[in-house]
Amino acid sequence: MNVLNCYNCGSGERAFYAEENGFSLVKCGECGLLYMEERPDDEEINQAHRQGKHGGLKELDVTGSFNEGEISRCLHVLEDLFKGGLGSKKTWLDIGCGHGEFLTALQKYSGGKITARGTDPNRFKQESARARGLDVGCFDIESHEEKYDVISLLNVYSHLPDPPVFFELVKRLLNPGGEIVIETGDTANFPAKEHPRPFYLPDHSVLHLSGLSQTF
Amino acid sequence: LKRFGFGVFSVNKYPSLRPGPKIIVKEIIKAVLPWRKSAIRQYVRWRRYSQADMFIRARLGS
Repeated sequence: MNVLNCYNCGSGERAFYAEENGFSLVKCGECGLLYMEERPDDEEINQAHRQGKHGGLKELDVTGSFNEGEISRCLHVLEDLFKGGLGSKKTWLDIGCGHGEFLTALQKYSGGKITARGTDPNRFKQESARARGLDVGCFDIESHEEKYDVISLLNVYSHLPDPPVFFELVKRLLNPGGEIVIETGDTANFPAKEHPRPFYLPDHSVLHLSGLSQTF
Repeated sequence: LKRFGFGVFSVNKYPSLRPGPKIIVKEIIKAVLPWRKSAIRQYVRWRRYSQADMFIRARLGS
């Protein structure tokens, strides 16, 4: 286990927030970020992401299945974000694409005009997405050479062992003027007893709040 | 994001809970089973979480 300071501000000042599945969530005394105080080792995290199963007092299986209803929600969000079209955007990478609901919505929204691909560490999710004809695999962001007009990270932030390092890598994969779309919970401002449960620890290692989104 | 050279130009918020009939029935069943944890209390207060899911769109170098 690694004991950590705050990912966002580096402060070691923290207060206990909640406990779940044998792991503790703490709230940073400086910036308010919620994060897991002790985290499994990197190799353990990577293996858990690949298999979709996380250890703890009880095994947490997060593979799930393709959610048809999610497509209409993604279409609604795309329209809110891009209001009428994707303009000159031609290439899109969805990191942590899961079963491919967002990629499916993206193909519909663009009328098939965008080249969209996805990457996900979970091999069951990759197979599920590929079975729907989506261009999905698993590649190492660090050594990946291709560049994209847009990169989406939907519900990925809360899984990242080191968000700042990851964002530097993502930045490198964008074309000049490229964009990112991030989905994350805005829940760190809830008192612990009102926070949506479960936290899905240790799959989620950091929980976010909107005030940080523009500065992390 | 600013730290990494991104300019944020939209933050859209959505409900984190999307209660549909199937989900409500499932959560009610979970609530009466002693070995299952139910989130029914959250669904009863779903409006509290109407802004808890956030989408950020940001552009590099703006």
